[in-house]
Amino acid sequence: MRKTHSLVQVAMALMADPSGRHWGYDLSKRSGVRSGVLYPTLQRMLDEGWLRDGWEEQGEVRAKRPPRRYYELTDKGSAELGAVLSAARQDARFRLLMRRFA
Amino acid sequence: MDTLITQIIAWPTLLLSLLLFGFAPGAMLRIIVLAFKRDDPRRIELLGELPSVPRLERPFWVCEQLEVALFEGLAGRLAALIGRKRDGLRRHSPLVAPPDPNLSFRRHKILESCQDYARRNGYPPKLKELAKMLGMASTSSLAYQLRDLEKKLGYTLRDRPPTEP
Repeated sequence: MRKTHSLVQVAMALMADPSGRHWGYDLSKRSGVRSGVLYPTLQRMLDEGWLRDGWEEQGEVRAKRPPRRYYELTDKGSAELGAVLSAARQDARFRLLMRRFA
Repeated sequence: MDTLITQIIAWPTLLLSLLLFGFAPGAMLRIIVLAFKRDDPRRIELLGELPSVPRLERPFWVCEQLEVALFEGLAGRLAALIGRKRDGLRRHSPLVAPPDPNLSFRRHKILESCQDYARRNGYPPKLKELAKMLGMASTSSLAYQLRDLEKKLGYTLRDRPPTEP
């Protein structure tokens, strides 16, 4: 995958909680990536096998709302995204970005 | 005159969209997700996400999804339409001469995709996956080609040999 600002931002948001479940809206809030960019990125990560997706069980859903789709990092994914982040730390292009999140 | 007309058209539209997006974001979203294909998980995903968006932000969020749906959903549909009409095989891969002169271009492409996939994943692709990789709309013609490749030309493409009919 091409290393873009948005990829690095999504990587940071995902790696903030490598074992947790992530939701689209929450991810876009935390990473600051608009949904028009975020969802295609997530889709590509799913295709690459970096992420796993699933739907909330009915039991976990409180009150009246439809189940959400969640994304989880796979082992391969956390390795790859870790590599993306460490490469971004060296890269001058992302210096501002990394400083903001560090 | 022109400006007058545009103003008359623009104001009600603006007000209407404000009303719709402001007071019925859920209903708008339901219409918006129809841009995605029927089996696209994004349809349900977006609807499921709306309740977790803060109420004040919802109209803006829904507007953003409109953009997403227009670009991705409609693009996907268009691609599917065009792909069905035009043979997807040629669009997806650069022209390479088949190494085996007995092989047609299409069969060469099938073989190549199969081997690529197996090299990457360690197991051969499912029929559906292979069809998707090749941009084919159905699996039946692909199944036929695979059978021919295996039986007549002696290529091994699956883990198990095809069962006798």
